[in-house]
Amino acid sequence: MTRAFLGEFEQMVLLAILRVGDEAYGLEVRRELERAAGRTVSRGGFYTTLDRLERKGLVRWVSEVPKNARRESRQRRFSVTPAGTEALKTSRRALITLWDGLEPVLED
Amino acid sequence: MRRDRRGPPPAWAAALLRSALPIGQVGEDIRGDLEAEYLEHRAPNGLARAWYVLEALKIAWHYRAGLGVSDTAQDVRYGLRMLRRIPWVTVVSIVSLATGIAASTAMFATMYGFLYAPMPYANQADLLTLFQVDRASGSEQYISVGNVLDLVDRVPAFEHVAVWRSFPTTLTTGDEPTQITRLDASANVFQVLGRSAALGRTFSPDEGLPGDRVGVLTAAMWERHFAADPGVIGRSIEVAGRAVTIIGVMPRDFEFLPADIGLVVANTFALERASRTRSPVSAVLSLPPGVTRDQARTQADAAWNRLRTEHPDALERYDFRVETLREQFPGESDTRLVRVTLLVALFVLLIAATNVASMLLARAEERRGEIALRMSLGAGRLRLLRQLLTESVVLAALSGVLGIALAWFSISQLAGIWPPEIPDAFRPRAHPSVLGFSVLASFAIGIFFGLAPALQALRTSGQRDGLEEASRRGSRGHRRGHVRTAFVVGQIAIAIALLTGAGAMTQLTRSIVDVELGLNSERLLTFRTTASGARYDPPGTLARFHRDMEEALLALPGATGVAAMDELPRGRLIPQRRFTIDGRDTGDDGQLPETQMLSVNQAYFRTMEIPLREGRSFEASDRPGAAPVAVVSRTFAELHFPGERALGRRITLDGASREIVGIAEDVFHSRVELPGGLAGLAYLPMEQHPVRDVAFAVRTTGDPLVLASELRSTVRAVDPLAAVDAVQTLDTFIEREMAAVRVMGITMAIFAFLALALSAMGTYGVMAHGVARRSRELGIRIALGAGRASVVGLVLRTGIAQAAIGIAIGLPLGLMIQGATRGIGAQFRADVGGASTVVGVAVALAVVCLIASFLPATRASRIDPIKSLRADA
Repeated sequence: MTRAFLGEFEQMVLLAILRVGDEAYGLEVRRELERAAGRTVSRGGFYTTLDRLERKGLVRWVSEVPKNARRESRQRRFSVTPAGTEALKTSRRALITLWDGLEPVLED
Repeated sequence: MRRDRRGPPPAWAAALLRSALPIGQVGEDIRGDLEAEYLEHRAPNGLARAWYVLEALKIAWHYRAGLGVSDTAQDVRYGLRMLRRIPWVTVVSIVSLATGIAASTAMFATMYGFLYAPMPYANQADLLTLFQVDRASGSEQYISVGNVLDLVDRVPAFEHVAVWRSFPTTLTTGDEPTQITRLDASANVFQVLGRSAALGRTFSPDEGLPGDRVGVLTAAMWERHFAADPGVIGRSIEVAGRAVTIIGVMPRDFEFLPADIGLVVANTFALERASRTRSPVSAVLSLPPGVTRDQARTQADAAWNRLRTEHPDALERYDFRVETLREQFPGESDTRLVRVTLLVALFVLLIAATNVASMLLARAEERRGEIALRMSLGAGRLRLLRQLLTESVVLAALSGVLGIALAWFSISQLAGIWPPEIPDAFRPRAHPSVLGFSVLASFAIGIFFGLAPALQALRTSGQRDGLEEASRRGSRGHRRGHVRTAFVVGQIAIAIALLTGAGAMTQLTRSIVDVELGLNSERLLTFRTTASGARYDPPGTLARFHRDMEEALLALPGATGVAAMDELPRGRLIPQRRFTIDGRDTGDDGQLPETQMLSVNQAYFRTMEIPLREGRSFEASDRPGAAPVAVVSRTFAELHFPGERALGRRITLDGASREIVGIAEDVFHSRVELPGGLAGLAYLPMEQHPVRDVAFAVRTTGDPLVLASELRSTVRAVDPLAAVDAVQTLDTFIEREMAAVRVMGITMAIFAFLALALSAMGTYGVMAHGVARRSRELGIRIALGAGRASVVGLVLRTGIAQAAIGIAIGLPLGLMIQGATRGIGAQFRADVGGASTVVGVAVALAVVCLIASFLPATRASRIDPIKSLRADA
């Protein structure tokens, strides 16, 4: 099965979910993303990307009330599926291969 | 903690977000996240709410961009392409719709400003005015100082009542004396109105005692007379020879009603404290928090009744009334006039919209093939409906843009003729709600008038027919033709109603403007001046001033007569005065007759060329101290002495019994409104009844304006402190006074013309399209030997039938509208015409429709049978 490459933002979202781990609710994932990227992340873009990743089968979520809840309502807790992890690995491999040998050009 | 104080996010933005997001956990989650962030937001409440709205919009956009919006954009592009394909029809539709939108928007702006625009006060809704109401006539009068001050003392809710009174006076600071309008007001006036000074300060509570004169300038006066110099604060200026210290300047948007006030002077009205029937003032009350209008009214009514038992002689005749400040303006007849105009404008819009709908319907028929094809290829019915509606909305939106531009221009034109005494705040302007009106009107028309054609195009039964038509055109669609015929019929009916209404209004304004004055208004140079200040307090000084002025003016080269009066013909409304006829009981109801009263000099009748029917004019012997006399108008004599001789009878008017020594021909002295027609007019000799604020009219042999420059020095020679104001010919004066009415008439005439043109266009469009559709049938007829005349007749018959039905419906409508305007017309002594006028309108419209159908008919007769049949093969 040929799989399309992940977009840069998609990769970042997947990685952020993995980093946050057990507490990967929407707000926390986006904050992690903003912290790592050092810039604000558009909410609309973020949520539609999550939806797209879900459609592609790279992300899934369960609906639950968070343990240390800020609010009482149920929220989506995201996790990366095995297919998602696989896609990240493929991307990483491709990128590493491409980076290889370019350090003299790209190093500051 | 901040979070506790934060309210919920704006409900509408939350609702919008909900509608944009997917239903279920996904949507809830996203909204929940945003709300959580909103609650934790560190910005102040207002900013946080704005942030929430912005973010909600951004998320909604993201979620909808991939779905509806892109489709709509595509529809809009497609719609524009379709419109470009038929440029002429498009241009005509857009222009006619734009005209309709512009007309109704401009009228809406006028109505909004006139009836609803708030006055520039902080707490307009809580401001009430107090009136005395004459029990006999029911007419509202300004309340007397003594009564207001008593009410303030007795009614707890009347703690904050400001009283004021305006009058013309002369500013004697500067190079030349200038006439200004001064307002004397209680020191709390600005506090009650909730406004503070832009420069300096307003009054402090202890100011305004007799002898202490401090004033606040309005921005207009500050700019005009003091070159907007901030150094004016603290300066002493001279008003009618007395010093007034300027302590502040009000902001530019601050206005009173009337709006031409220049200077506000603090006044306790302490000297008029005892006055219960005179010393009228405007009294404005600011309701204290927590007191309702009804509570205040109940308290005041009780206090008024007590006051009346204490002063039965003075107050027996009066009731008391509380109204909101805004209710003071405009009067009933102006309100009705504005409403009628808006209605007429909306009719124009309706006709224009019908035209566009008719055009769209024709297009829908032409496109049945295309639509059927797309449907059979799987296009959803709703999807197609949306696309068709988008097209009509695009058309309406284009018209809306042009219409708003046109409206903008018309509004600025209307605002340009605004009388100075009406506040700027009421001026028609392109207010957001006005803009909202035109946008709403455009879209409503786009959707409403696009719906019928769109649904028509989508009829299922048409799918097979449509496909047939896609490959081969036929002479079908008779049923669809009915809708368009109905449009034309409706249009003709509306046009008759509108033409009758607009015609009546035009007639009305014309008869108001061109009324027979009853005097010779040519070659008369007029101006106003005020004998202001204490200099004219001693008895006799005022009469002397008038005499000196008259003499000096008569010495001007070319002057043949000098008339003096307290108001020029067709100027400000002359108040009605009550009087009694000596030796005659008042009627059973105790109601006194009323008359207009005018103070004039001896030379008035001769100079103004008003003929006397009986008796004499005023003479030198009619001096103060001599027997009081009066001259009355012919209508006065006929109204109050029917079948009797009025000459020699006595009337008691303005506190004295006066002998009627002369009867003059009628003069139309009022500006516009005369309930019950021409009112009686009683003239008093100015010597016996001197007035301070006076208008002079100088009759000249040549061009009166030549004298204008010498006029000022002449007046200055008589009184160096007298201001010369509004120097112009009487004709110019009347023209200016009538400008608004005239514009109204022109507007109505334009509306009527538009209605006629638009319905002609509509008829033409329907007929032309009908001929095009029937070209095959007509071609066959011609091929089979039908003569050209019979083909023309065939087409014309359809047009005539449509016009006939439209007229049959429109005639009663027109008669109804005419009936409605007749009431207003009678008030202005204008003839709005009878049934024959309506019939005339109908005939004119029938002729126009006939011409509009004749062109397509002759085109039909020239159809080449070979071509028309081949085109269908």
